[in-house]
Amino acid sequence: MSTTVKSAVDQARSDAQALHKKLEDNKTHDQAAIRASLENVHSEAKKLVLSLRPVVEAMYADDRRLVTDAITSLETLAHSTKDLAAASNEELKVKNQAAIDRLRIAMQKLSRAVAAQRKAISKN
Amino acid sequence: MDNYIAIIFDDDAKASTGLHELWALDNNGDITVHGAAVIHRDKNGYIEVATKRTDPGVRTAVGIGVGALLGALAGPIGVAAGVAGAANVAVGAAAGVGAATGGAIGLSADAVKASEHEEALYESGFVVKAGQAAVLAEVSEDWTTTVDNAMHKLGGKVYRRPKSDVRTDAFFGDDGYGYYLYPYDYEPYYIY
Repeated sequence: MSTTVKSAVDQARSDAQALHKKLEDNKTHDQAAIRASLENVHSEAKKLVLSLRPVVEAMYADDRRLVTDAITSLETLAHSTKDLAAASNEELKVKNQAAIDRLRIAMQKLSRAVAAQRKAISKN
Repeated sequence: MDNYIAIIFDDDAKASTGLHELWALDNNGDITVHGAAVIHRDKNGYIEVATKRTDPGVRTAVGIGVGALLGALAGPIGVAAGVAGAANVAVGAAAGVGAATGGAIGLSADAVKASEHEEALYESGFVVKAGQAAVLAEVSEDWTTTVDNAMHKLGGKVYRRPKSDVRTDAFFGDDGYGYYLYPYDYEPYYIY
């Protein structure tokens, strides 16, 4: 199978990968940059959740579970990256690592869901 | 089918190209790459994991997982050696010793001995020889020919083991070794 048209889940996975790169790059950035980046992550994570919610109902049970788990991780990520105004430099670093770990979980679920979708398409 | 794969190349540059090609296959929808990393084995036999240039802090953690994955790819005998090699990384990191002795980066190459005698012990025949590099990845693929053909064109040789087989002899959590691989394409960077 070869297709350049990405499904919503596939696109969400690509967006999550880009977000993950930014968070990892934060390790070399200063406090202000990390804060700005995490605030951006908060809004990006919410966008990802909104993009995934509509597609869940149309999915088969196993795939639905994967995407639902990804949504849960992304919601936690969004929640953990809000209200950063009072966070210290050390707190920001901890939050950044926690965000990486949380996003990694979401990406693993999305990656599995993408693989399942591609397999289903190739069978048809 | 979910597989762990190792693609051996003769040098770092080809391995880097192989990594990018693997992700290109993913982007094209031909396979799904869940994670990948690049390693090389130096003239002294030590293996170094190539991380992102901005991500040196994860070398030891990645090394532990990748060390075990190398062993897992080699087969049941390799698993024990791989985990032992991984343990060496952790000890080396704690002691703060240099790469020449296993070190805070890279790891003992016990899992992938190059001699013919030891090669015979590993059921898959997977060996990274001194000077060679390899792309390690976890992929979902419907046909093995997709990756095999693409990597063959680049001069790579592909080894694979089903994830379901590897899981039975691994002790690295529910997601196996995938956690230690980069979940996206990156530019491999070696310190040494």
